[in-house]
Amino acid sequence: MLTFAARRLLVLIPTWLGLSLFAFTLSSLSPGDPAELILNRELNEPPTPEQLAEFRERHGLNNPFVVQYGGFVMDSLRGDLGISFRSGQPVRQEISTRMGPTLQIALPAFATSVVLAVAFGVVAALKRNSFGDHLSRGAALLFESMPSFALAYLLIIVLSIQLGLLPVAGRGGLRYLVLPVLTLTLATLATTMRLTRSSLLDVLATPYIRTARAMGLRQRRIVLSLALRNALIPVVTVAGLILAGFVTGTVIVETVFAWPGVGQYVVSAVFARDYPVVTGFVIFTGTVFVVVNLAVDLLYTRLDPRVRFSGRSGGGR
Amino acid sequence: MNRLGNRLPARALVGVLALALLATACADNGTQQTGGQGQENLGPTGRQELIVGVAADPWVDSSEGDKKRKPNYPLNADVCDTLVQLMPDFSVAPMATQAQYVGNNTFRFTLQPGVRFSDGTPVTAEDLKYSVDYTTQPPAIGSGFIGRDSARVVDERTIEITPTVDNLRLIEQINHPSLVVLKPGSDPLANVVTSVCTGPFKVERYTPQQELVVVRNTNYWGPQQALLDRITFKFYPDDATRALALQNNEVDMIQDVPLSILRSVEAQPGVKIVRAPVGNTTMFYIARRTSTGEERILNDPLVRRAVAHSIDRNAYVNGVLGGNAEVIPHVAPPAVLGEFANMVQGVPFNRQEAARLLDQAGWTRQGDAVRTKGGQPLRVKIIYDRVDLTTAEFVQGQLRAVGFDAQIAQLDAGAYRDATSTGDYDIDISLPNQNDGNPAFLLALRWYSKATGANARIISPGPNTRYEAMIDSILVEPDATELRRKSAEAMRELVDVEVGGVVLAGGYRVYALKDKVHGFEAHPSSTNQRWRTVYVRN
Repeated sequence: MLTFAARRLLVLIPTWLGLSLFAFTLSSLSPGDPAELILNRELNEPPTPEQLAEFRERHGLNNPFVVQYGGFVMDSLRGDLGISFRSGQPVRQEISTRMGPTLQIALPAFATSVVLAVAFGVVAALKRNSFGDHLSRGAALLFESMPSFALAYLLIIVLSIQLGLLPVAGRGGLRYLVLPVLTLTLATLATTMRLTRSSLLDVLATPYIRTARAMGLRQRRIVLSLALRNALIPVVTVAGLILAGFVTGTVIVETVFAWPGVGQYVVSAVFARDYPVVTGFVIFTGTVFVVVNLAVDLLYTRLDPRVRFSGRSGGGR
Repeated sequence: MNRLGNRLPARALVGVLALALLATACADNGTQQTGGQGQENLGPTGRQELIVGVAADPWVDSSEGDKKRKPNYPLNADVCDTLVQLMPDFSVAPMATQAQYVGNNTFRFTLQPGVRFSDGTPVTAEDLKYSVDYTTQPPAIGSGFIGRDSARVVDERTIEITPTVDNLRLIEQINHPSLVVLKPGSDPLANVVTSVCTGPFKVERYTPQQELVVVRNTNYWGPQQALLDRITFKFYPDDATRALALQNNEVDMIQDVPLSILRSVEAQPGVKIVRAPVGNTTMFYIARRTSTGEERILNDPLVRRAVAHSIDRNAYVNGVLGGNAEVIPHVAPPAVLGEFANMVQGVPFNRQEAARLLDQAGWTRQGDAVRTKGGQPLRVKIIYDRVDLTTAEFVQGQLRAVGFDAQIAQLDAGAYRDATSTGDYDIDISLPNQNDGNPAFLLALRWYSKATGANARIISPGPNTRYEAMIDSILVEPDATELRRKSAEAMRELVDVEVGGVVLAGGYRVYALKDKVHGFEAHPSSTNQRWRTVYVRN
């Protein structure tokens, strides 16, 4: 297992490096002088050439590209993602401050989405082409097709304004969590549900399942103990991507529900040309995806032992 | 028998005591409020708490300098007093201090009687000096070129401020809420809750990106305490969510109702709309040259005047803005010019005249095609900031109707800053606000060639012009009335003669209030908004 994990990690490191180089290059090539932009904001008047020169020197903006990138990589490995040009605070601190609120909606939304998607997917597969199957797939597709801001407003109007059940926006107790979590859940339900359904249908058509049925095993045991485990393999991949997407911020939901997460922050940094924040966030996102992918790969080995043994030398016995 | 030999009946004593207690209880419920509306006379009832929905938290993703201005700028929670205050008619009145010019580029500020901090301690001149020093490092907006050593203590109640450059406009500028009276040791950058000011409210708590809560300052030194016990400013970055929060009774009023949802907000039962007087202008600056001195197409005065004649401002105000603005020719709110506002007339909408001027300038046209001259198209690049794309598209449409090839460039903050620094544009549509009492604020900031901004060199009429001489004179004018007159003259020169800028509209800030909210007086400068007269009738 450790060897497997190490091998996977070795493959992912070049991916991370490539991503960081791409992000760093793009941000450096963007038009606009961050020195002038930031100093204009700080001083509330145009900076002098001397002030510009001092700022560029202080932030290493005069160094060659390779030197700047190398420094950036070394700092990133130490967890130092630079200093925000706007606030003067460490980017790591700015992102970590906002990660709490993001995780507060991301994790419940992920758990709810996966649990509901798998449950509905199983039912849809077992009751294939029934009214319930069509209804659940249609509803999930409807929610996923809807832009997330439209879905958010719809839920606000129905659940807050019309029914008076929940607050419109803001951050407070559990009641404030419901709408943003529900929006994220509904927006991602369809993909996972449909994948679960189709994957389970494929597995249920395999010979070993037919054998199990012929042996008289009950349907419940066939589905839950035998079929589902194999059916979940592609679902795990998608779920991993969903989790990584949630964790790295959901701008629309955070903005509509006035949720102070990391997504909003990064968008404002992009518009303000706050390069350290933008590149730091890309590194953070890349790292999250790498870690999640690794976790997914390790989970595969639990679901499908063949994956674990596929790299071993020697033939069969 | 008492000492006077008279027997006072016990029942009478009880009655007097009861009446006294009743009178005290009535006084604790707040003073009677008089105002413009008849029902304002009824005064506050019930718990005096107000929840205000505002836009995104302005202090979270901001610079250190901006964070030092919590909770006064740009959202003003009426916690801290300025040295002098900007009135709704843009005149300047005493606040914590009385101000006067004493000559030699020096201004004296003398504390008003009884000024004290919210913890009850009296304010001294040393406190004023601390306040000036704190908010000028780094320099705040409107600091009027005040440096670290500009303020000095004269006596226990008086300081003098000498700007680092000649600046007779300091009193009109220093009312900007970025410079407030702070108790030494207060540092809003580090902790706004423990910072001590002199205003009618004080900060109870601040949760970034969620809310700012202020409570009445019971030690307020002013003639009347605030009527509200508590104000909660809740941050809603999304405009539609803010309006929905009002509809759901989660807030009692909202600031800055966007025009796109104004109708639906107005239609909500139990909601009234309040519009502030004109406090900003939607206008465009015209680039005459690049930062390297290369002439741009609108350097030709005939073409500039044609641009001005092409814009139907009434159509903009009534069509695009739905009547939520006024057609004005002034680049600043006309109230700041006072009695001299009528000196500025503007360039009237007249498409025929625009076409005639362009023909005269050599830009000819075949039918509805783009005008050309020497094979070159009459192309202008439009950029914009702080207005939306609809406004840019309106201007584009107006210019195309007379034969301009008007192109809109949608730029982010960085690219926009680059364009305005280099002069890579022809028309820059923006929304400047008037947040101090200086009638020449924008005139000197933007179109004065000696101003420090690169933008000024791009749009100014240039040195050795009549406009430039007018601004030179304004900067050293000590008399307030003469200042307004000269500013009106300079604005007329800029708008009517030079056509250095074209004003589309004078804008209102729009607030939506639940019917229970009273006493709110919308200030044309939102950064100078006061909350001390607001109350609720539950």
